[in-house]
This record gives sequence, C-alpha cells and structure tokens, in this order.
Amino acid sequence: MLDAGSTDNLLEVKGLVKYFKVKRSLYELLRGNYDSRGIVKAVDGVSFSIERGKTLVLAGESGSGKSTIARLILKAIEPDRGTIMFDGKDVTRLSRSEKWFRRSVQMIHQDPYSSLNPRMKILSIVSEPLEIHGFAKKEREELAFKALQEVRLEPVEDIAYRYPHMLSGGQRQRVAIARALVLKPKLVVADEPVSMLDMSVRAEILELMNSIKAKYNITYMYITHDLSTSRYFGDDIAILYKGKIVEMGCIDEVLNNPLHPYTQALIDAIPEPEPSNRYKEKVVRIKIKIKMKIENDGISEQGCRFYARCPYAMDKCMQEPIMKKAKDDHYVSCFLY
Amino acid sequence: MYRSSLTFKGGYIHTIAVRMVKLEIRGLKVYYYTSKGIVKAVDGTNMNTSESVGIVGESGSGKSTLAYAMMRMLQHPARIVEGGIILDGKDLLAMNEREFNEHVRWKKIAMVFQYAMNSLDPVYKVKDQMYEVLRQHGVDAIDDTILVDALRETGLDAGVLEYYPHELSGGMKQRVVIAMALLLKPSVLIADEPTTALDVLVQAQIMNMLKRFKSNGLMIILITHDLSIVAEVVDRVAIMYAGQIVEFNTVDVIFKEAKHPYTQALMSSIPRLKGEKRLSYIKGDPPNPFDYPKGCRFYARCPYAMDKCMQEPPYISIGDGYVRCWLYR
Repeated sequence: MLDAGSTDNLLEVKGLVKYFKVKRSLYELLRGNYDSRGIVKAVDGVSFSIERGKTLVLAGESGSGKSTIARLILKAIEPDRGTIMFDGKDVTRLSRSEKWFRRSVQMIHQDPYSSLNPRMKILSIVSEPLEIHGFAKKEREELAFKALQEVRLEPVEDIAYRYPHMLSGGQRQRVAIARALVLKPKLVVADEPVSMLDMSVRAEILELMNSIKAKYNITYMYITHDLSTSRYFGDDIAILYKGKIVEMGCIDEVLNNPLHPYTQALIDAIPEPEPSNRYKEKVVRIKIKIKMKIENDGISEQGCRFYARCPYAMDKCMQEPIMKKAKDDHYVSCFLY
Repeated sequence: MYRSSLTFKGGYIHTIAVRMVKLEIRGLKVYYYTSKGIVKAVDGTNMNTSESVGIVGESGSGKSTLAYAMMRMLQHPARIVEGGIILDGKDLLAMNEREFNEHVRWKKIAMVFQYAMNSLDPVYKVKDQMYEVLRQHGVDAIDDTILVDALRETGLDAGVLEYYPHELSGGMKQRVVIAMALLLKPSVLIADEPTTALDVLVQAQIMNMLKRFKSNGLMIILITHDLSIVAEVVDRVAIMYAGQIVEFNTVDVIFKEAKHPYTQALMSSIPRLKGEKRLSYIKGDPPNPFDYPKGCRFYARCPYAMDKCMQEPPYISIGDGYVRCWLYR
C-alpha cells in the first residue's frame, strides 16, 4: 500500500493536505485573514495508494476527514498541498475541460434518498452522465438499460420509467450504483453506501458491488465508519483519525491484530451479536471528555493527534509520529512500536 | 407521588423506578387510512413482558408505529383499530387523553425519538428545553436539581444546562435527549434507534448507559434494525415482519436457536468482525403494506414455504415466547 511508483497502482496519493478556514466573525471575514484557531485541519498529510482492481477501505469516525479525502480525489475541491496520481498521470491540478478524468472516477453517495433528483425518471438519472459525455441518444438509452440490468433492478422496463420516490432504499441505492457504472469508470468512490439501508439489504448491496468489481475490474475506495461491514468488502484498510492515517494494511491483519490504540478502541466498541455481552459493559478504552467544550475536541496541536485521548500516552508522543512498517502489509503510526 | 420524589436531592440513580413493571400488548392493530388505501402498519401484535425488549424489523415493518401507539401519539390518518396496551394491569388505550397525559405519558412511559437529537430547538438553551418538559407535565421545580440529576445520570455535568444545542457534539445531544426522557423518572423507556447517527465509540457509551439503566430496574424498549445492538442491551427480542411479531423470545433463544425462517435469515445477514467471510441476505422485497397477502406474510421470500403457509400461521409456544410459523406445528 505504501509502495509508491508501482505500475499496478491506479491511484497514488502523497502528502495530501486540506485545511478549511472557519469564518468566525464578520470582521475577520472582511479583513480577509483568520487566526490559527479558525483553521480546521481536515486532511493533514495523507499518503496511500490503491492497486488496480482492489478495494481500499478508509475508516474513521465523523470528522476524521474521510469524506474530505473523497472530495479531494474526485477533484470536487482542490488540495492545499500534496499530489494525486491517477493511472500514472498527475491529476493534482486539472483543468475543468479534462473530461477523461471525470469519466474514469465516479462516486456513490451515502444517502440514496437525497442523491437522486426526485423530478427525474430513473432512466434519465442513469443516462445523464452519458449525455454530459456526449453519447448519442440511442446509445444512451441502450447503455442505461444495460446498467440497470447489471444492478439487478427487475423488471427493468417498469423501473426505468418510475420516479425515485416509488422505489425502496435498496432499489434507490442500486440506481445510484448504475449511475456510477454507466460510464465504465476505473475508480469508484463509495461514501458509506450502505449505512442508510436496512441490515438485510446491506449484504445484498455489498454483494452486488463485489460482483461488479470482479466483472469490470473496478477499483473501489470505500469510505465507512463501520468496520464490521468493511471486512466483507475491502482488501486493504486505512484508519483515519483527525485528518491523519494512524494505521493501515491488509484488512484481515489490521482487524485481527490492531496495533494503534485508536484502532483497538474502535474495534472494542463494535457491538457483537453475542447475547452474553449484555451482562457486561463495553470497554471504551479512550478518554472521552464530555465535559469539555467542543472548541478543540481533544485534538493535540503538536505530535500525535490522539495524545489527549490515548490510554498509553507518553512524553515522546508530543513529537510527530511517523508511519512505520510493523509487518508485511501492516503499517502503524505510533511511538509504541 | 412523583412530586415528592422529585424534590429528593442527590443519588438520582437510586430513585429511578426499581419496581418491576409488566407490559402487555394484546392483539394490537394500528392502521393508516390514507387516500391511497389502508396501510396495516401494525396488524395483530401480541407481547407480554416484564423484561427489557428489543423490537427488530426492517424499515416499514411497523416497529415505530408500535412505539407511537404505546405513547398514544398517533395522529390522523393513523387509528388504533383494536387491541390493548396494558401496563401494570391498566389498559392505556382505554384511558381518556387527560388521564393518560397526567399519569402515564413521561411519568411512566417516556421515549427517545428517532433523530431526537436533531429536534432540540437551536434558539433555546438546554436548560430551557428541559424546563419545558417539566412545565408541560405540571411539575414545579424549586431549582435545577432535577435537571442536573437527570443529566448526571447520562454522564453530563451541570454546565451543559447553559449551552445551546449547536455547542454540543452528537453524543452529548443524544445524552441530553435521554436525560429529558428520564426527567420524570419513568419505569419504561422507549428508545427508537438511539444510536443510529452516532459513531461507534459514542454508540458503545450510550449502550453502556442503557445497560446501567436496565440494571437499575428501568424497562427499556429498544427499537432498531441492528440485531447486534439488541444482543448487547436487552433480554428479550420481538422480531417484526410486515406489521406482525413473527417471533418473540429471550435473546438467548433468538440468537442461538432462532425458529422463524425470517429470524434465521436476519441472523445470517449480521456482519461480524470474526469468523467466516460470507454474508447472506434475504432475497426479494417485503410485501406491499397496502395489500398484505393472506396467510404467512413471509411466504414469498421463505426458503421453506409450503402450501399450508397460505393460511394464517399459528402461535407456537417455545419456552417463554412464541413463533408464528407452520414449520413447528
């Protein structure tokens, strides 16, 4: 995952940085500069790569920067620093006219209830990307029908002419997947694609995404906070905490043998379907400051970002930890190792 | 009775109801009379418990409607067609509105609504919103003690009273909402998807909190579609499918020897951190609520469907609970 420069990599991200300025007052807004308190370090030096045909899971809590990374890779926003290499080409700075990139990278959004235009019929929703990329009308319809079949929306003839509100959550998410696939992209960024769906439907959608991946050799970046479903879908995983990757590696290795205290805490907190658990409390191995105002949210400005909440915090942790190789396919950024 | 206990200072934890309550739902039917037809959201459910229950089902299975019926908060076009909700021997549905509001709502049964943390009013401080609950239920508080005690119970300190909702994190807001439900010391707490929008670490804390309440004698009715959360908190499970409870039993029975094919299918769709990497799912969609099929409603998706299933499935007793399935006749 860290071997940069390999030709097998579809996506390579190096030292990606994105800070957001928080406009605190009208005065500051007018003056045009902000003090440092007004900066949110959403993504702060993130490097990773995804091999062709593999799935990388980006996992973290809300506010960890996972969606910002997705937006940076989709080029919806510009990074402050760092480089993004896609398919061997530098796409960090891309002019708006370069449509080949837009065609190769598609997104599946979290909420199928708001990601589909309620005034458009399913067929128009799925064929809109084709229209933007200049396909002829006949071809558009043909490809859209094919994509709808691909995501197993039966009966296609009927569903294609319905509106989104007539479909269930699972069906809508399949429409969103069809829309992402219709351009035959190389990379699909899926931002919590199953979190809004019922448990029984989740497995179905993940299975569908997996079968499509194998068929068309699609590479996925799967963004989630749910480690237990990611296990069924991912090949590699990167755990994010406040804009930095704290641990990454092969998904089975990281989940079975977590090294970073934050990853360990996350894994401990996951509810397990084991009835005897109700007799004991879940161990929450991190310090949580619910008394504190959310001003700084327990983020340490210097050194390890997890310092303030870490049960093993040492003096050394005030320095910046670097990503170290713990094992083959397992990297961790922590002074404990 | 409540007023006297409310002025009690300190040690809130001991003042939460320790007595056992008995809750029975008897043949409850709640229908929505819409312009497009009748939706049989809850269609003949039966349940009898004195332990905490998890109500599990897909969206549209009627679990939230059931909860709203218990709070008597259903509005047009919903109507309770028949059945009873009996709490400690009293039929809540037979009471008139005033009686229910004065003696039961929030005093015996309180609820944490789905997405409740987003329903806090942004222009009022937490304190004012909590006082509003007291005012609404005719309790005059001498000072903030009641509020502070309720907040402490959820792990927050008194300082939170002076905050506006936007100053709090998601987990803190959820705690405030739970504290508001506990203000009048109910004996039953209905929690509708209390952890859905929260991160796992916060979810773990909220679940720990619910467990603690439960061991202090509070009956928790947990509504969720996530079976793993149920296993962590409650003692009994009711599995709802298309408006009916198809299986009702202790957590151990449900998780170790589930009887109903739907429960079994749900069980194998739970993602787990360890073990085999294969998830299965239930093929097909739930039946159309405007027109439920005759007989077993799971028929069309059931791997064991037989001819007999076209008739209304019987209640088969299994230990303390029941399953509604022809396989066991």
